[in-house]
Amino acid sequence: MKKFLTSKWVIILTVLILLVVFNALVFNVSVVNRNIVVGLGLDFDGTEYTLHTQVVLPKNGGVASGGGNNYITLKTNAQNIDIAIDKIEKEQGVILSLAQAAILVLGKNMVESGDLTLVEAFFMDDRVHDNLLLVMAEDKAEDVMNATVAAGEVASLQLVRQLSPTKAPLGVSTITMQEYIRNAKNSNKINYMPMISVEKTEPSTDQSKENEDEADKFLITQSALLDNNGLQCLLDLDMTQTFSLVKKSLQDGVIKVEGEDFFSVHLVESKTNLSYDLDLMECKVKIKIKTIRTDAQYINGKASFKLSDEEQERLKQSLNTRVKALYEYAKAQKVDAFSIVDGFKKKYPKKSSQIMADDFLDNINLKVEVTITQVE
Amino acid sequence: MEKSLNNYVHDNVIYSNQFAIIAFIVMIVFKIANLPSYMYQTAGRDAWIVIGILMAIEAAMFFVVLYITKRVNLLADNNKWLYIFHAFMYVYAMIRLTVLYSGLITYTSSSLFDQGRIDFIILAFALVIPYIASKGGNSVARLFEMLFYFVMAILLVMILTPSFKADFSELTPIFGENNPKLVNSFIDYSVWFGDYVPLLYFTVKNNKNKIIDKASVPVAVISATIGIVVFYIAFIAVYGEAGGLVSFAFNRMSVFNTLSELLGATNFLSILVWMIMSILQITMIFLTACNALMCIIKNRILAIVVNTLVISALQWFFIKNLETAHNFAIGYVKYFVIVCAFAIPIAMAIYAKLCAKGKI
Repeated sequence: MKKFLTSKWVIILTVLILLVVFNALVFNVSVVNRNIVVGLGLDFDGTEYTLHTQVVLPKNGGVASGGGNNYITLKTNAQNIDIAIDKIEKEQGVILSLAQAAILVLGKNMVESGDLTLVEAFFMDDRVHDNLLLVMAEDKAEDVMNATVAAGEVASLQLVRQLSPTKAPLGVSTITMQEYIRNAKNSNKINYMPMISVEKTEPSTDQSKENEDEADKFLITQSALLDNNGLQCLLDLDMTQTFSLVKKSLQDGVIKVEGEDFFSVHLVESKTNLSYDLDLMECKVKIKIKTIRTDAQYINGKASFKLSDEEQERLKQSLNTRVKALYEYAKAQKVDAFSIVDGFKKKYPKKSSQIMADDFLDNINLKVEVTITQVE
Repeated sequence: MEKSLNNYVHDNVIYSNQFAIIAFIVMIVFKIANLPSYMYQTAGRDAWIVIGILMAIEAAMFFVVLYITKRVNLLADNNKWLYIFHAFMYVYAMIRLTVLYSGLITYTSSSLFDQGRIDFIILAFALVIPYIASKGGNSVARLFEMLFYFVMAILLVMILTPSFKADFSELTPIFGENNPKLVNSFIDYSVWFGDYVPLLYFTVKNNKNKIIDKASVPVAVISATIGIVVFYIAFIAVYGEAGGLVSFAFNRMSVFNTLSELLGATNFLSILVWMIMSILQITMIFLTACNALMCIIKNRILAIVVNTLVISALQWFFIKNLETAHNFAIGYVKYFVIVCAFAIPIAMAIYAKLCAKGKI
C-alpha cells in the first residue's frame, strides 16, 4: 500500500478523477438546456431595443433520420444586448448558444436612429461568430424574423442561403460582422449592408396540398450605405450592382446595356482597383471584366458569343455612366461611396489636412477605365 | 550532490532537431494569442513590422543559446558564480510564468466552458504541468517532438483552407502616421518574448544526420518568424482598426477557414492546437523555474512543490484575470525581463567561451 501511495499512479489516478468530475464542477450546461440560436434581430422603438432570437428546438432523430427541427422566435425588450440575452435566458430557463448564429437583422429604425455600437457588443462577445452576416430590414427586423418561408424552414436560415451563393454575384454585396466593425472603426470608410424586403406570394400548386397559407419571399435587391451616424442613403437595384462591381471581386451576374440595340453580357469575373493622384485631383476607377455575350449573334450563318467593337464601346460607356451616376448620387447625400477620401489619406498621409477638407470630394475628378476581356 | 539529482542534471541532453522543434513551438504560441491585440493598441497598423523586427532578434538569440548549450551543461555545472545566473533565471521565469499562465487559464475558461471556474482550472493544471516538468528536460523535449507532428497537421489543415475577407489597404500607410507609442511597442511586451532563455538549461547534442543537424534550427526559427509576420499581416488586414478589440487572435482568426464556416464559432481544431502548444510552453517555463530553484536549494522535489504552490497561489489570489496580468507585464517588470532576456544569454555565451578555453 505504501508503495502504491508513493508511486506515479496516485498522480495519474487523481488527474483522471479530476478530469471526470471536472465537467460537473464547472457548470457545463447539457444540450437539453441550451437554445441554439441561428439568427438574431434587433429593433429600436426610440427608447428600448427589441432583441429577437430564432432558436432551434431539435426533434427526436434530427434531420438525418427525417425528423427535422422546429424553430421558435423569442423576443424581449431591454436597454442593451447583455440585459436582453439575460432576460431571454431567465424567462426560458435556458442558456442561449450564439456560436451557430449566422445572421443579424437590423430594423430600419435601428439603423437610422439606434446606437450601432451595439453591434460591437456582439463583436466583443467571443461566443458570436465573426462571419455573422449583417442585413437591414426594409421596416422592422421582426417582419423578417417572423416571415413564413418554405415548410420546415426558418426565416434567418433561408436568408443566409439566399445571401451566400457559391459565386459572388453582381447583386447585393453581403457584409460580415468582422468587415462591418473593421469599416466602422475607420471614420473615413463607408459601410454597407443588404436591405431585405418581405413580399407575400401565393402558394405554389405543390405547396397548396400541404399548406393553404400564403408564403413569404425575401427580396434582396437594394443596399443601405451607412456611417457611424447611421443610415445615409439607399441604393436601388442598378446602383447596388454598380456598388458591388466597384467594391468587390465578382464571379457571376448579367450586365444589361440599354439602348436601341439592347444586349446583355454574362459577367464571368471582375476586379476593380482605385488609384489616386493628388496633383491631378483625380481618382481613377479601373474595372477589369471578363465577359461573354448572353445571346448568340449569327454572323454569316455562324453563332457567335463575341461582342463587336461597337458593343464593347457601348458596354464601357454604360459602366462609365453607371459608376459616375452612383458616385454623384452618393456625393449629393454626403456619402463617399467608394471611400475615396480614405484611399487618398492612405496614399498621401502627410497631406491629410488637405484631404480632410470638407470640399475635397467636390474637387475630385472621377475617371472610369474599363478593360474588357472576352472569354470563349 | 545526491545520486538522483546527479542523474537528473545529466538527463537534459537533447538533439539539435529537438531543439529546433521546441524553438518553433515556443516562438509562436503566445505571440498569436493576446499579443496581436496589445501590439495593435500600441503600434497600430505597423504592428507587423514591429513584430517582424522583434522576431528577427529573437531568432538570432536562439543561435546564441544553441552555441551555449552545445558547449556547457549549466544545470550540472557547480561553479559558485552560476548561483547569480540561477537566481536571475528563477525570477525571470516566474515573471513570465505569472503572465503567460494566466493567458492559458483564461483561454481554457472562456473557450471550453460557459462559466469556467478558474480555481478548478488552476487545480487541474497544477497537477498536469508539474507532473510533466518533473520528468525532466529530456522527457519534455520528447513530448514536444511527439506532439509537433500532430500540431503541424492541424496547422496545415487550417492554413490550407483559408477563407479571408481581408483588406490589405489596412496595412498602409507604413509608418505614415506619427505614432508616439511606436517606440513603446518594442519594449512594453518583453514578457511575451525571450523564449530562447529556458533552453539554456538544456545540453544540445549534434544529430547523426548532418543535414538535419545543420538545417533544423535555422529552418525552424526562420519559418516561425515568417509565420508570425504573415499572421500579423493577415490579422491587421482582417480586423483593421478593430484589431485592438480582438482577444485571443488565433482563435478568432481560425474562424476564417472553410472548415470553421461549417462548424460555427467553436473551432475545436484551433482550441486543440493552441492548448497543446501553450501547455508545452508553460511546462517549459515552469521547468526553467524548477531547475533554477533546484540548483539553488539542491532539492528537485521541493523545488517543484514550492513552485507549484507559488504559481498557483499567484494565479488564484493575485492575477485572477488577463487585465491584471497585462498591467503587471507592462509595468516595471518589463525592464527587468528585457535586460534578463539579453544579459543572461550573452553572459552565458562569454562563460561558455571561457570554459572552452579552460579559463574557468
